[in-house]
Amino acid sequence: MTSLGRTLRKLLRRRRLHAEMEAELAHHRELSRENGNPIGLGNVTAAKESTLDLWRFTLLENAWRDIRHAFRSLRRRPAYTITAVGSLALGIGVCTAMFTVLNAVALRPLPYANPQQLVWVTQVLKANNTDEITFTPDFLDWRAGNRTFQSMAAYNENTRSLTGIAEPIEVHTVKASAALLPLLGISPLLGRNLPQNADFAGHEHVALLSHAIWRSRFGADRSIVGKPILLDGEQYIVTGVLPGRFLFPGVEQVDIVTGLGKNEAGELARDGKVFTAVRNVIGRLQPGITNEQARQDLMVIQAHLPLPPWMPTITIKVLSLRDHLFGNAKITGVVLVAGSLLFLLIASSNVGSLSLVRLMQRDRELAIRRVLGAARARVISQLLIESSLLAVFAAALGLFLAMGIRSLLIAFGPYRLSIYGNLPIDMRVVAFASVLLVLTILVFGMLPALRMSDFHLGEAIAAGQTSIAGKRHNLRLLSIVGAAEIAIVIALSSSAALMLESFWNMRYKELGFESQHAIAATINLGSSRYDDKNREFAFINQLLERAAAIPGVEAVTPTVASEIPPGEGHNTNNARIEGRPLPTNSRLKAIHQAQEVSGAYFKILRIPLLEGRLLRDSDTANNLPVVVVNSQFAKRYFPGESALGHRLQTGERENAWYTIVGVVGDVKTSGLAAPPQPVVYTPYEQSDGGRLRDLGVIIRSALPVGSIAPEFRKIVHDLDPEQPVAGIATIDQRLNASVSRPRFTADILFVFSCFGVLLAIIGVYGVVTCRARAQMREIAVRQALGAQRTAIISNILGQAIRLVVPGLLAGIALAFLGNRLISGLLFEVKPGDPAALVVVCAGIVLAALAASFLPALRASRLDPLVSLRQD
Amino acid sequence: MGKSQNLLQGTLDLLILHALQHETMHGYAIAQTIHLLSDEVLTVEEGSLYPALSRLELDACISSSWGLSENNRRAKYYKITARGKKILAGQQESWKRLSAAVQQVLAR
Repeated sequence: MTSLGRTLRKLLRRRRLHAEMEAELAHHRELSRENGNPIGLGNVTAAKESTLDLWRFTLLENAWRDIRHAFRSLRRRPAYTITAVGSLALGIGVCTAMFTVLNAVALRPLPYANPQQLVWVTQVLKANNTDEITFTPDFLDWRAGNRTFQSMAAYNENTRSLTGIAEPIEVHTVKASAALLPLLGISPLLGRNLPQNADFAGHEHVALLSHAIWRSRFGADRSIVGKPILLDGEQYIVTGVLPGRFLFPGVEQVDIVTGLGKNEAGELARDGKVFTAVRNVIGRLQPGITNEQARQDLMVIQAHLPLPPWMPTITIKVLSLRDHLFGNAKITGVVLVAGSLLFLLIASSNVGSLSLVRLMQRDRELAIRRVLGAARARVISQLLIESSLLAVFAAALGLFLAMGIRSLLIAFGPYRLSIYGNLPIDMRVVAFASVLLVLTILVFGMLPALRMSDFHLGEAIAAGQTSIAGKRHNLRLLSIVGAAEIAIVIALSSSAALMLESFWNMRYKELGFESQHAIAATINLGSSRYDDKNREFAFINQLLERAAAIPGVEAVTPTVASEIPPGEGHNTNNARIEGRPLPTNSRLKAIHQAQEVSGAYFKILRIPLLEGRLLRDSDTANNLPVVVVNSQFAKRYFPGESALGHRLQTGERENAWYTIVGVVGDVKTSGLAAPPQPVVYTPYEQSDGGRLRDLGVIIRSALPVGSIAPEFRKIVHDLDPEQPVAGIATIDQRLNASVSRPRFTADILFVFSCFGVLLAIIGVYGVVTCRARAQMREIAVRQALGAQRTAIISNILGQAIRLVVPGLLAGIALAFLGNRLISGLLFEVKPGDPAALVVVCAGIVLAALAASFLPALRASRLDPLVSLRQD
Repeated sequence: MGKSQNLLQGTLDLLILHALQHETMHGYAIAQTIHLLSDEVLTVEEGSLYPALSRLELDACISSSWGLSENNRRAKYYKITARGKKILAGQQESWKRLSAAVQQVLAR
């Protein structure tokens, strides 16, 4: 090592050495001359050259020569090189990309000061159902009385309209404690943080702008601080602008932060007059305090606080902020990285066996080089250099691939956490990729090189052995690797098949309606202008009338935005059915989802009418109140009789009786994964209009959404220039978005298993080729003794089957195990669904046999004379 | 490097190491010393001397540094290392045996 160091140092100093030598020789000659000395007068140039020769170094020279040699030899075999580089690059790329996810969700520190002290706190309220939400007075008492937190802050997210700028838009805002940003360790880029008194009602009209909205909507105007902006028609004074690197600790990017504005005295009175809740509480623990200590501390305070009237049981949950944000994503990340490492292992062992095949094809070349005097170390180092060269190419390509996969993950990833950011590639990712590179070289580079070392090539050639790598135990190892690959691939593919089937069922099976040609727009009538019911209905009716007049529009209906299929969170109503006793038990009440629509709704979505009639445009506030129910409602509450003609009292209007005039088909409106619920459809004009403030408009048109949207926005703008449109999308787009997570998992698994199948095929090919090669002499002898070509092919295919069948059996076992793991993610698909498994197994077995056919054919075509004469 | 040189080189190395045994000196002085100590029988050409010095240095038998010569010129001074001394001792031993053997052969 020291001599290598010295060598390298001298190599670097070579130019200077040259000058020094000139000086030294000059000195020598000078002295000779002065002394009149006979010494000297040799061949000066030769002296210099031969001295400099010593400064050249066999090791590095050889390495360079080997690299060039390796280049040439890789270029001579493009098929091998492309396959090897391709599979390694795939492995490294997938691993690195998956690692960026894990890195972002589990390893990178959250972008706040001392993030390990940050926790997310919530009350867990258990009554009929479980809610994670915190009562404001309780939060205030925690904040005042705790001994384990440095600071606590609360915030609620909501969507508001930002108006008074060029074009009104919907913005994502939070109402937050003034303490929130200091707690996170963030200070504004411009201006000041929210003032302390913004926590109190009446003082909350202050706003912090996000860097993004400041730049996009306010032209990065530095004088914005102190000026007013309009949110839902109310004035807020801008106190500051947040820094661009700030990421809000939540799911969505936050555009504007305003004051929390709670009536603290009223809340703390707990007299029921003011009683609100906060959705998020973030705290910074005192140094050295654990989550559990903090929870105990808060529970002590909670024990002294009164319960609300419906008497839920209250417990408290304290999660580290990272776990709150990334809980599931972390597990997913670990699983993905582990899976992709396995994948890389397959890829490297594949390439290992491929290069072994190559080694066998080159054994003569290597043996001859050995006989001609190349040191064994040189031959091995040459092989290693070839492998390293491959691996370096693969790693470079893999990194590009990783960048590509990473942008796909960002674009299509269902985790829209703002903090997930853009999956940064930092030192950790680079280090990970480097470790992968080294591991790859070790796994696939050392394998063939080590095998070389147990052979004495010169002797091998003398003894007439055709193979230098054909030891039996090596072949057995190879076969085990091949079988293991098949097993893993079968397990992976069958999981992927199930996930795809599940996704398919969820997305397309039994929707109950047709989603084609339906476009949904949402408008949040949040402004106080629409507190007047007449104004609200006037707006809706004008909007419907003008939207119906857009060329190419066939029909238009209003609805409640959150009820547009596939539906989100649902309010449920209780209905009282005429002639039946008032139910006391909640189970007996006619619980249903309420929708406010027009008759066109059913036509647009092609929802079938089963009985009676649909809603009509004449069902207005002045006419007889009527409803249409779905078949679930009819079956559940009117078993064995017709629901038609019965009358209901629903939560919509006190004391009004609505007559059931029709029964329609069931529609999935509680998310695609949930079965249809009982639904009551009320004519929108007979409702009180409260829920229609969250207005949805569904349009039927064969035109693409891109040509309808501008027209629609223009109409809304004409009717109310201050009113933004929240969103316009086809129903299909909404359906796709709602299944984006299962779809993402299915897609990733599917892509993984496609790659896996590809690798397994390469693997089987490599193994079978290796075996065929090792048996060349045997085959030649058998051929010479009269064996038919078909016999030889079937012999080699037989060997392939002996490799595939154990892999298949192990794979089926593994698949059952793996499928049980994902059963929780499946929808209307049974784990261990034989159909999927059979298809997968058959496909893989066929592919494996096809991959073995090539080497078998090649072996059968060998001329026995040639292969025997080789010895 | 031809084969005939090998023998010579080995001997030259021995002579250089011997010359440096007690004193640090520059290349010319080494050549002079060998010349004088051999009663002016052996003459070391620069073409052999400097490659030999470089090789010995690479082999860590000697080390070198630049300094001022007796007549105030920059010169490279060579100094024997511990490893050099060890090798010198070994070579002296084998040289003695070799020359004794050669003499014995010639005496018969």
